[in-house]
This record gives sequence, C-alpha cells and structure tokens, in this order.
Amino acid sequence: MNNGRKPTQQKGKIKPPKKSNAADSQFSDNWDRLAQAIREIHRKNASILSFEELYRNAYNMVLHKNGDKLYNGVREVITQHLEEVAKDQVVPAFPVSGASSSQANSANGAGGANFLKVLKSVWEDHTTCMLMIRDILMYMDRVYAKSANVPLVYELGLELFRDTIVRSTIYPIQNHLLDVLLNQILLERENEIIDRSNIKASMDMLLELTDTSAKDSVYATDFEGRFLETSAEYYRVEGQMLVGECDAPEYMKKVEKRLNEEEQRVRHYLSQTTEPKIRSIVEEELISKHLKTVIEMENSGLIPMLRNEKMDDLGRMYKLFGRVIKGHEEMKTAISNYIRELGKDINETVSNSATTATAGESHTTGDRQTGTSVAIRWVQDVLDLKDKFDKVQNLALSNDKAFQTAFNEAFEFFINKNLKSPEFISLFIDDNLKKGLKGKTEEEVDNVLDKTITLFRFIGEKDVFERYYKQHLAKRLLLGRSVSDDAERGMIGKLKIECGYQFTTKLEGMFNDMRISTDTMTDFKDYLEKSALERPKLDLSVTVLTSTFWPMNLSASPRCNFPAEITKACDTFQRFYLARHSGRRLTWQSNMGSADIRATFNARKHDINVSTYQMVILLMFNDLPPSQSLSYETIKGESDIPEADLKRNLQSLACAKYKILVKEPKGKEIEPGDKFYFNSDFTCQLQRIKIQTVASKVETEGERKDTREKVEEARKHQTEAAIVRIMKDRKTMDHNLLIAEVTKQLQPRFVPNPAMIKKRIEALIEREYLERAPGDRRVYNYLA
Amino acid sequence: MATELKKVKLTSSEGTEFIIDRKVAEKSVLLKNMLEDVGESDMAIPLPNVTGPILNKVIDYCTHHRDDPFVSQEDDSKKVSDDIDDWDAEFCKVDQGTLFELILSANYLDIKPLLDLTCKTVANMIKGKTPDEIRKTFNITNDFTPEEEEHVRKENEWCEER
Repeated sequence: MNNGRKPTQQKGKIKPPKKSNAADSQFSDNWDRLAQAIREIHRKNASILSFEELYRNAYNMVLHKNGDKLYNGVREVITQHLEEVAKDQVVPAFPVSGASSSQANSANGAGGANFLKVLKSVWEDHTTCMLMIRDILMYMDRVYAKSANVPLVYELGLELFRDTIVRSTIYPIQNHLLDVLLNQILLERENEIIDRSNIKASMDMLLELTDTSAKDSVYATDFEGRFLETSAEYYRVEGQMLVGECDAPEYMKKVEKRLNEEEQRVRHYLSQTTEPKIRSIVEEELISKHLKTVIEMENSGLIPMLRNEKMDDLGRMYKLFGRVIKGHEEMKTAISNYIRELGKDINETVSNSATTATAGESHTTGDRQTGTSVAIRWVQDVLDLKDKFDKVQNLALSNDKAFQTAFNEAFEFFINKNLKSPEFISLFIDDNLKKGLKGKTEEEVDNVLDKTITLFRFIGEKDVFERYYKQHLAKRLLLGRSVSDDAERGMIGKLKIECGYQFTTKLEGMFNDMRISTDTMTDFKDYLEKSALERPKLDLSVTVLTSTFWPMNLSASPRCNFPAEITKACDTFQRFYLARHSGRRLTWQSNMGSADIRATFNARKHDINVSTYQMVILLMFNDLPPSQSLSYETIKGESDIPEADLKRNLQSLACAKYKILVKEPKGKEIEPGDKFYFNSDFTCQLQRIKIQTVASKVETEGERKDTREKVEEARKHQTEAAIVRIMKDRKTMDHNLLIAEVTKQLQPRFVPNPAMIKKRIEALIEREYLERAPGDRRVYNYLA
Repeated sequence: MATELKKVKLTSSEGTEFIIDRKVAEKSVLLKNMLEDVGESDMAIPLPNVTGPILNKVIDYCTHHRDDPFVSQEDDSKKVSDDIDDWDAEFCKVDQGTLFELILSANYLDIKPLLDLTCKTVANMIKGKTPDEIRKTFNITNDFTPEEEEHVRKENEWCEER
C-alpha cells in the first residue's frame, strides 16, 4: 500500500507533503474503506476486518490534514446507522398505547419491559461498536480531536446516541422511555414483580449520556426530575390514604417499609445521587405532613402508647420522627404535656383528699394519718411516674438527652405547682426512715433514697424542703424513731453531694448532739453514783440540743409547770452540766420528750409510755381521790401547757385507743368544761402500752403559713447577704446584672423573685450598704 | 498472567518477521489495543509503514525500556530537553534519516517515550542555531523572498541574543 513516503538517505529532506489529485483520490479510497469497515462493525462483522489496515488508513488521513473530513465522515456514518436502528428496532418496540399511562397494569408492564429490553440491547450494541471504532481511530483522537477542540470519538458516539435515539426529534422515544420507566417503578411500588436488570440498564445508559449545557448526566436532567415529581405525588396520596386507614403503630410500620423499599430501589437500579432526594420526599410526605395526626391518633397515638408502655412502637416512632426536623419537637411537646397532665392529676388527688379531710374535723389523729398517707402517696405516685418515663426513655428513646431535658422540665413544672411538694417529699423520706426501710437490704435502701434525691432535684424551693427535713429529722432523732442510723447518714451524704456543705452542717450537728448527749448521760450517771447527792426519784435521761442546729425557736419554748420531783431532777442535771460547760444556757423543751410511767390500775399495773405533757397531766391525778375529776380549766391552769398541745394530748389520753382517762361528756373533741377522771378500770392485754405521741404530720394551714413566713424571713436575709457579697467583690454593678448574679447565687436554694431582690437592694441602700451611682440610676456602688 | 510468556509476531514492510514478548509489544499503545481487540491469535501483525531496520531499532528501545513504569499522559508538564540519559543518547546517535523515521514510527505506533526522546534529540539539534545554520543542518531551502525574510527578522528581533 502506497503511503506517499519513501525511505530516505543519510541527510533526509523534509518536504511538506504535496497535495495532489492523487492524494485526493487516495483520500476517498481510504475513506470508503473506513466507512465500509464501520458499517461492518455495526453489522457485527468486525472479525473480517484488519485492525492495522484501518488504523493505518485513519493515520494517513490525519497525516494528510484530512482529519476534519474524517471526523465528519465518521459522524455521518454513525448518525445514519443510529437513525436506522431507531426506525427498525426501537420504534416497533414501543409499548402499545395505555402501557405508558400511569395506571399500574401487569399487561402494560410486560409491554414496557419489552421496550426496555430492546433499548438495552440497542445501547449495548452501540457501546461495543463505539469501542472498536475508537480503537481504530485512536490516532485521530490523539492528534486531530484535541487540536480541533471536538469531542473524542467515543464521546461523539455517546452524543449521537443521545440526540438520535434518546432525544430523537423524529420519534417520541424519550417520552416512551420515561413513561415506561416510571410505570415500572409504579408497578413495583404496588408490589408487582418487575425485571430490574432492564431498568438498571436504562438507568446506566442515561447516566452515561451527558447533557452538555447542564454539564450533568441525562439521567439528572431528563429522568430524575420527573421521577421525584411523580414520587412526591404518589406518596402524598399514599400518606393521606394510610393515615385514614391505619392506626398509629401500623402506619409507622408501613412507613418504615416504604422507606426501606425506596432505599433498596435506589441501591438496585437508580443512581446513588438520587438516594437523599427520594428519601427526603418520602419523609416529607409520609412523616412530616402527618406528625401531629399520628401522634394524636385516638386509641393508638403517642399518649395511648405511653399509657400502655408499647416500647416497640414508641421506639419506632422515635426513629422515624427523628428523620424529619420537627419530628422530635412534636414528640417532646406531646410527651411533656402528657406528663404535665398526669402530674396535674396527681396533684389534684392530693388536694381533693386534703379538702375532704379538712372538710371534716381537723384535729383528730386520724386525719393526721390521712394527711401523711396522702403525702406519701403523692410522692410514691410521682416516683412511679418518673420510673415509667425513665423506662420509656431507656427502652424507646435511646436515652436521648433532649427528651430527658423535656421530661425534667415537665416534672419540675408540676412538682413545683404543688406548693406542698417540699413537705411531702420530706415526709416520704421521714416515713421511710422510720419504718419503710425495715428489712430492706442496703442496696434497696440506697435505691429508694436515690430516687428521692432525683425528686429533690426538681424542687425549686429547696430551702423550704430543708426546713421541713430538719423538723422531721429532729422528731425522728429525739423520739428514737429512726430505723437505721446508716440510712440516715446515707441520706445526709447524698444531700451533701447535691447541695453542698452548707446545707448539711446543721443536720450533721444534730447527729453530733445526739452522740454527745449519750456520752454526757454516761458521765451524768457516773456523777450521780459518785456524788453524795440525793438521787432523784426518777430515772432522768437528757438530750442536750445545740439551739442553732435544731429547728426550735427559743422564744417559743413552750412553758410547762413540772411537778416537784421532775423539777428537782432537772435542776440536778443542770448543775452538773453547767459545771462542765461554762457560758451556756439550758432551756427545757417540754413539747418534746417522753416518759415511762408505771400506772396502777384496778386490774393490774401497766407501763405506759407518754409524752412529757401527758406525764405532767397524769401526775396531777396522783394526789386525787379516785372518784374525783379534774376539769379542763384546772388542768390547763396548773400545767400551763399551751392550749393546742393540751387539747391534743388530752385527746390521746382520753379519746384514743387506750383510754387512760375518761372524759365527760363523751366525745372526740375537747371543750372547755370537760371533766376528766382517771380510768381505774382500764384493762389491756399488753403490759407495756405506748400512747400515741405527736407524730410527724402534714401541717395544718396555720402551721404552714407559719413555716412559710419563717422561710420568707430567712430568704430576705440570704438575699441581702448575697447582694452585699457580690457588691463587695465587684464594687460597682448594673441593676440587671446584679439581679442576674444574685439569682444565680441563690438558685441552689430557691428561685428569688426579682421584685423581692429589688426591695432588698432598696433596704440596703437605706441602711447605707449601697448607693446609687450619681450619674446613672441603674448602677450601684458598694459603700465600705 | 501469562502475558510475560506470550509472544507476538510483527511483520515489517519488507516482510521480515520479528518475534517479541507481549510485554515489550505493549509499550506501543497501538499494538496494545490491537492485541486486546483482536484477541489471541497466532497471526502476525503487519506493519507496512515501518521498515525492518527501523522496526528493529524500535524493538531495541522497547526491550530496553520494557520495565519502565507507565507514565500517565500529563500534557507537556515539562518541556525540557536536557534530561536524556546515556543509553538513550547513544540510541539516538544515528543519521538524520533514521532519526526522522524513528519519529514517524513512534508517532504511528503510539510509543510516547520514544517519540519524546527522538523529538527532544531533534530539538537539541535545532537549539542555539541561527536560521542559516538550521537550514544547513537539515538541508532546507530558503523559500523566503528577501522582503518576507526582512519582515520576519524584524518581528523576531526581540528574541535575538545581544
């Protein structure tokens, strides 16, 4: 084959190749041969061709500067071929009318599937041919295409395929293709089996073809948009239908299923880039749009699920709703409201039983029991509620912190709505430490106490709680009611961790006093042995309480006239004690304390355990002839016991289970004018009896008001102390900042009212601890 | 893979047969593609474009460089012509005619390293010479009219070393 070049001698001459007629005819020969070869390739007859020859042909053409002619010629041949293919193969395979409609119909599905198959084979043929053509024309690609800035041969082939077949302007191939694809997907969504490989082939084809202006695949420009549109529409309808038909758990299961389906679909035959888009569409249509509806479904929505502890369903809801922005918000709000509802109910049962109780008599010990039991029930209900939601949190919500916060806020809300909550919680602990923990293991004890601490955290007014706890603890210690010393200390330890050292110093002080008192008593006994003093006729046991620790008011120390022997014994002790500790003053607290009396009745003797007041009252009957009575006024006058206490104690003696005294007239209430007789006919099985002393109880309204006032008073002082502390440190501060800082400091104990703080500031200004800055009224200065 | 052992037959324009390892043959991208597309066959590949002696030289080069790593086609990242190693320099010590034939063959067979090498060699032959010297070296006739020549010289005055 003549190439127009000759082997050269030593010094070669370089001449520009001459264009001549010979070259022209050579070109058309070469070209004809190449064109024919390409046609043979298209006819799948490549094996008869000589690769090298064709390559050489192309090489020569480009060398002779006919690259452009070659290129265009190739383009024409391929285009022609593709047009034939479109007409002869693709168009006949069009699915019959109706198959491209959006109706899901198996028959239509088959027609569609066939069309895809044909398209797949056409595409595969084309790509295979193009590879071969590319290899032959590699020289042209390398040398001509780059410099002429035209696409490489293979890309050219893709473009021609795209324009001649997929986007053919002559035949509606694209419409059919897209319709069939969407129809197939629709069929699959309706649970029909389709041939996925066909669809995948079409998708791959669309992905390989590019749209030059969009610089993206034809898949993205032509198919994806429509797919997302139709999918959105499909799921919109589906969502509405399902919400109407299914209950909440069912609905969610179906949604889950759909999400999985779509994910699978993408993985199997769509492009990965579509995955996030279709997922957000499904999430939008099936979840976002129906959040509230599903949550609020009667009998199966979120509240019923919580009520019936359907952890699986709750877990599923949590996961599904987590996918959309507002999902968890809605859940949180719904659950939070539910907790507040339940909390409100719990609070209301309390106030209801309280009102029914106070509607009746308000001074019987019976009511006291009810009062306490109401408190304990309240706390137990709240603890149970907390347990329930902790379980939900754990099992269904994967311990989501945001939810935990929402729960805590809800709990805080309704717990603090109940003004008696600090008192109730203290009573609950009191009850447990008195009897509830008996027989429980150390672990169980710890458990219960921990739970109460979690409740304690929710209380806003921790100082109120402290006050009640001190009162209850005092009674427990003094009356020896505490079940376990370890448990008590454990509780204090936990409170210390929660609130710090300050909170618990006084409590620990109380414990210390008890311990020291036992030591003091031992020493006192020794002293009595050794001394020559007349031993008191009674066995005296004294507990010395440091007044600052214990919740008593010195000024309100109840007066009481002790009988002579008692007074003498007390004086002996006082002398002994003051000899040891100088600079101290002892005041006898007669509202505490108990006495063991041996009483002689007609039948037999009994040992009775009574309170100090009751002892005083009973001793009055000692010198009385049996048939004589003492009137209420007499008793009151001689003993000098405060009225309320007197009435209560008389009730315990005369109107309760063990009637040591007989009251005339009979009845539960103590009225002025009542007469009391010693009940010599009293009988009882037991040798030792205990007369119910004043147990810890829910405060009456009057007592509560009292406590509140004391708390307010203390708060004022604390606020002022905080203000002064801060101002001393900062020297000058803006009003709002000061309020914020004070609130922050006082927060662990209680939440101060800004108006109250302002009042305190004014008070301090008056007392010249602070002043207003001369220039700016909003700024304060510290006055040293 | 058994490509190491497979042999390939090439036929030059005069009909001389050359048998080489497939690995050596695949240094030519053209041959590589041909072998892949046509598949295993005992038939020789005809190369009517290339004479025996030239084909021989080309095979020499490919054999010597058979283990060179394939450098990805970074377009003209380094247009230097002074990085020719000794063996290659020796290889290029041939008459001009052979050298130009080598260039054409390397181009045809698509052996980029050889093409680069031979072109660099020619470039070095041109470098630093005046137009007249270049004409002498390559036996080029001056087909400028005096006016044209003057015009071009003026245009390129700024390049001339003073």
